[in-house]
Amino acid sequence: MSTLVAAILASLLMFWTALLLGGCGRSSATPTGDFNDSRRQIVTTTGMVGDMVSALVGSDARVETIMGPGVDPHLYSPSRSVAVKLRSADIVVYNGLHLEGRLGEVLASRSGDPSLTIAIGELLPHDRLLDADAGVHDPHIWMDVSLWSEAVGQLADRLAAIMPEHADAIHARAGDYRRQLSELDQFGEASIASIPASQRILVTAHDAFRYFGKRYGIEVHGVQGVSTISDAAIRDVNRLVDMIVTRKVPAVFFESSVSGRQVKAIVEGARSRDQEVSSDWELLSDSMGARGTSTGTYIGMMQHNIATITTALGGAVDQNPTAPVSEPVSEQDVATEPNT
Amino acid sequence: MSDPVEPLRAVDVTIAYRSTAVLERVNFATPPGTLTAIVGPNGAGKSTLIKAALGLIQPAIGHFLFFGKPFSQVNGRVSYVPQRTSVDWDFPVTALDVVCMGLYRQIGWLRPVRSKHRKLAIEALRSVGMEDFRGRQISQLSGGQQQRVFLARSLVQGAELFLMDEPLAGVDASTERTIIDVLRRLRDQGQTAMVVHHDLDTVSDYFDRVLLLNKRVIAEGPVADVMQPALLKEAYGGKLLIFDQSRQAISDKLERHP
Amino acid sequence: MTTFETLFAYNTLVVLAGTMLLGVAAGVTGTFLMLRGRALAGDVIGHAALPGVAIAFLIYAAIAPDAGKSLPVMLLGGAISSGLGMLSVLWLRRVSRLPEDAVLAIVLSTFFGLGVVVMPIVQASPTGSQAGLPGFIFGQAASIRQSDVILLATIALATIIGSAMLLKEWTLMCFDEGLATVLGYPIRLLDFLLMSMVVAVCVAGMQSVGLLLIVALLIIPASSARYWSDSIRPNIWISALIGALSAGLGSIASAMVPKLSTGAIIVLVAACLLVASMLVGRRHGLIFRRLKPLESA
Repeated sequence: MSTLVAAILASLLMFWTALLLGGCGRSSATPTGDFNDSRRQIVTTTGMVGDMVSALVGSDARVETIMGPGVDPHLYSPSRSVAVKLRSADIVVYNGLHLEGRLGEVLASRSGDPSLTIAIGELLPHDRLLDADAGVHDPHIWMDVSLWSEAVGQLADRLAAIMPEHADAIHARAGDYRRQLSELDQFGEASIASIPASQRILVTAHDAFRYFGKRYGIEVHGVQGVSTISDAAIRDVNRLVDMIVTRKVPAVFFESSVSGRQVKAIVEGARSRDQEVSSDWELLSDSMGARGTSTGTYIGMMQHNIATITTALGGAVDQNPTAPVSEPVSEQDVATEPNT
Repeated sequence: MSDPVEPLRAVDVTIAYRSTAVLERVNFATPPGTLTAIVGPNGAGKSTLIKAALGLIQPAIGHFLFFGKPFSQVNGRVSYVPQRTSVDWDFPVTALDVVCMGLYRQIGWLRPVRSKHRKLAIEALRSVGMEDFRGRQISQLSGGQQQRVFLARSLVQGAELFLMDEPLAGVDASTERTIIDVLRRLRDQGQTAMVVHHDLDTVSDYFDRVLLLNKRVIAEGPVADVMQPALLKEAYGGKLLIFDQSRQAISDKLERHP
Repeated sequence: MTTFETLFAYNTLVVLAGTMLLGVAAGVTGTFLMLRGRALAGDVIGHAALPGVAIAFLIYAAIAPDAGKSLPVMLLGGAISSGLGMLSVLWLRRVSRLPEDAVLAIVLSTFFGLGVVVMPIVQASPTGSQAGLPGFIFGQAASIRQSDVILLATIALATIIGSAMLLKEWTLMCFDEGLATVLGYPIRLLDFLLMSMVVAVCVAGMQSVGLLLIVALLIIPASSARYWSDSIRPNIWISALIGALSAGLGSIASAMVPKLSTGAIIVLVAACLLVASMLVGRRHGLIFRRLKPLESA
């Protein structure tokens, strides 16, 4: 009998240790603030969306983001407490277009005024969206800064309608933010254009950069498809290796929120054909960098991506006061391990 | 030649299964160079006794001594032929493979079975009349043939004490004769066998001694002494009517072969 | 790319090597697992690895937050929880009155359930998405690299050597545990060694076919071999061969046809080979049974 008790205790211990460690490692949500706060509560999903909403409402509302840095929104599954937050928030703003694949049910169960649940993807005109397989749109809309800026305008209108007392402030902030985004957009355009045409090929872990490619004129290839749910196939791996070797692609890119296994396989494949392709680069594809760092905002994230891609592929980063110094991401920042 | 100390002695063996006594205070000692039949009604604990002796079941009280020593010290000298129903006959082994298993301990860990071992195994198969079947997978053998293969496995070990669980159940007449012949040859060479036997009619023909069990030892000794109506009645309880006819047959036989 | 180029591309060859080595290791180990009558235990061991992989990742991320994920640590975690799963099965069987299949179902669902609970915690952590947990569940054979092949080769070699050295002992233990005990063999130790091999194969196979399907590679080739031979050693060789063949054909199919998940295709190929064996297997295939009835003994 005592062995039974011991076994139960051991498994419970294992379980609670896991929960505890999970809690320690998690840096997702910002504090909710005290209960006497009369401001509206807006809950957002990805960091990029959260950044946009914060830029628009400032401190006129409480903004909370549920997916922290490094989290893959395609696979993110809400815990009970997060589901409760999503259901009970005054306003929910999310990316939409099936990016947050596992939140569909929770979002659908929100009661009350449907206009308080806003999908940014649905604010944009359909002709600006790219198609993915099976009749759905590619959800990675934040990768085209000009498109994202349009969404800012649309979201500002919606939020102003919901919070008319702050309408003027929201529109003013929208104007400021869109100006910054316009500079960022030009930065991107200029930098990517400086990459020699034959080297303008972007190979990443999954197909997150199609909007980026279309807007800034660069060919994009992802090892996995538009969603990280399905594994890559040998055929695709071979195809990419062949392309890298034939067209002498100088660099391939890891992503912070996706396993780097496929990219490493491609690097090894290219090496077997005597093509050393540089892979010390990490892009922020589906999530931003850590809070409080230079990449912890949407603008910082895209600056990092643009600068990294440009440098890695042999271009010259546009000299812009807001652009960070271009250099390859150092070993400590990239989450790769030596032997695997 | 076998050890003068008795090959098997049970001392106060008591075995319980979920607070029901299966065997109670079993005491006996088997002299060397004998063939003993273990008989008793269903549920008497005959199989359990053998399994307990071999360490497959733990007695609650009591112990066994083999040639005066615990089982672990006399490993190679005791061999076991299990009930045929407990074997997986679809297992991908041939008759020869099965007999070779008796030699595994002698071959030792990590070493393969060599041709000299196979020769010994074939010899053992020959002694039970099965050498022509050595390449057959065991499910292709009849009941009697399977039993003979297991006996051969037992023989090849070179043991001095043979413990067998119903070796003659459901076998053809020819196999029965073969097995008894082998047992008798063993006895004549000084080996000992204790055999759980199901058929009262043949006890006095085949065996020298009897251990009469029904959860406890009713009687133990030479066949003539134990196969007495009063003792059989005590062991088999109200099933005496069945034995009315055989009782007479047994008494007749006992008169002819004291 | 031409067909030739696809087939002989470096990545294809690496995936072929990795999956075929796994096929060999699983075939050899699976033969004994079947003989021991523990086919479903392979399923338990596979599923039970999930919580260990996830928890190991979390522990390592807490201890060394900047190091990112460590594959050896995660595989070790998987091995430990698989081992605990197996021990739970043995222990429950001993102390409870529950039948074997109930015990297997309980342990499998409990461990896997724990894994499913821990997974979102991993996914929500900053480096958790890079851990690639879904890849362990469903397999990610397309991205097998040289280092994976080395691990698989080591395990395949270990299973071959282990089964060569312990062939007699394991055969006896599986066939007649009673005699094995009587002859003085340490059954617990032999059992432990066999189940350790199963754990090793499951953990190594997780990255290729995934822990959900690894049991298929353990059982299906071993079952197919039964239709070709009635003797132990040939059973082992044939099982290894069929395992390798399934893996090879499955990998090639996955290389040629778009959108085919490598792990699943390997299992389907193995199943087809089983059906083929049941029809034309030299020993017990349907065709041979019809044409030539067994001689009665």
